[in-house]
Amino acid sequence: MKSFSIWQRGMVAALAVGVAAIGFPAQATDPHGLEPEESDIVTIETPKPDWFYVRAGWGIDGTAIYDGRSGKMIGIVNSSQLSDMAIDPAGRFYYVSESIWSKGNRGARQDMVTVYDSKTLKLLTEITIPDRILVDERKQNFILSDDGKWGYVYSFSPASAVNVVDLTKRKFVQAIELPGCAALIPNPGVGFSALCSDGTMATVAAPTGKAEITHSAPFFAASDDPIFENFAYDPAKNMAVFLTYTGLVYTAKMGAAPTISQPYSLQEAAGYAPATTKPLSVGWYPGSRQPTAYHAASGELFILMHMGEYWSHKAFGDEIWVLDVASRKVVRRIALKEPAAHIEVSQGADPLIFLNDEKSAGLILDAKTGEEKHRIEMAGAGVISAAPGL
Amino acid sequence: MATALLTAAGYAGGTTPLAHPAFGMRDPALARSDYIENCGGCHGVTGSTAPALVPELRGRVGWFLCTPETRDYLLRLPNVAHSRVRDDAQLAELMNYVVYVIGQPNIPVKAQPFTAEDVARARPRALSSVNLTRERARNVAIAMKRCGAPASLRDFYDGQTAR
Repeated sequence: MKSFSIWQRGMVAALAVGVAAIGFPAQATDPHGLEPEESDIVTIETPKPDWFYVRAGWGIDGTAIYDGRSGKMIGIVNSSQLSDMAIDPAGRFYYVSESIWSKGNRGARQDMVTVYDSKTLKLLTEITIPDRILVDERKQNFILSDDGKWGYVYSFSPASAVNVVDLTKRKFVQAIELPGCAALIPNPGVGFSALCSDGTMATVAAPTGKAEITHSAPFFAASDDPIFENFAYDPAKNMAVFLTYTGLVYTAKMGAAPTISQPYSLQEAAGYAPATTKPLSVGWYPGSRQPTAYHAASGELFILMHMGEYWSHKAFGDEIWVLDVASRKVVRRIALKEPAAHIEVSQGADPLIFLNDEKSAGLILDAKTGEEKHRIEMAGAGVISAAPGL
Repeated sequence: MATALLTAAGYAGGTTPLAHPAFGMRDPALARSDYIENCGGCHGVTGSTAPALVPELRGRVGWFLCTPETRDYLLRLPNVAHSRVRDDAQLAELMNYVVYVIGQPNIPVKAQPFTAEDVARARPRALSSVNLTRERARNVAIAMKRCGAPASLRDFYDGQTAR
């Protein structure tokens, strides 16, 4: 089954927002059986478990919403080039943290969290935040608290910092400097955490108030075997899952003082020798622009893998390895016909995998069987998000 | 080596540098390439980035050699203390390239080069739980008071406030 995206048809307006109806003069029935089409304004549903959000890609605005079950496009969230999107856990809003200029590529700079209604995709308001040096298209740059009341926007200005936003009052609260740290991790009841260049995890308690920063003991080597910033978070278990460039898997029980597990090797979980950082040691390695996706209900981590050596972490994935994180076993391997750049998995009971590549070719697979469900041309070449498990 | 240093010095200020042992660089070419590889991406290969919102190093960073505290500030910056350059002596030479070559001609009198020991002491005390903006302002105030650094050092580059 083949679907065409709205970009392919050359339309840019959000689907949900129709144009004003133009009055047609009353006419007799068209001899060719054509009826004049009346434009209207429709609304869409709040996020559904099978929905995916696909960034158009570098230099192109918009985040397309797809129903993974039908393969059809539902709408576009109006995200600008330099932005990150987060979804309200209750499904009412789409939040876009973005930097724009009044004249496009020049003029007055404006940094904000833009709030859209999830049913109409209409702009509700803009929350001004401090200017920052640009960060873009990384899911861990912009996270929300589990209750949806607070937004945390990574900022580099040029000290590493986090802009805290009150999403109820729709106001900027404060910037918390977090030198040497980036990639934000939810930490319900505490605040948030982040990974740091000294191999520690920083935890910011009471980020809306005193903002006290503590660090774990160092547990990974940021220079020698870094952690992909595209890590997973399991809200039910309050656990983060990390993967390093060589395939070491860490889990962290979040809290005021997160407990970080001893790592194990992804390759060993698949029956191979563990991968190393040694040059010319060829084997299966994780990689690509968005290499991991996590299905919380089953505890399965989906990882884009390729044959290569250490430091080939940007190579696109030729296989998906499905890791049962708790039992430490690779339980399935799905070979891909075309290398994939980004992977995401839906959070429903019958999960779907969404893949794309730099040519915007989208592919939807059944996450249990690997069966191909839909191919979508011009689906978007950027980062993919899944609707939160609702 | 001397050629590389002179070339870099040409970018940085146009004046002839002192002989390199005085800068605490046994291998200025390596120090320069380490700087370009690890710092130059954001700070610029010649230490100049204005008007980007990145501290301009050229002609400015040398002021931080002023006191033991301001010297320590540079070494405790997380991206310095946590540098991929793990060897303390090699990192000290990188930082000496930054302050003496990129920072020239504005070097406080009697300034001493960084040593491997300085780096080793600073690394475990990286400034990773403080407000760096405030910490920088505090150290700039010291350099102004003790070594006559200009008030423009408060900005990230000369003329920033006026923009």
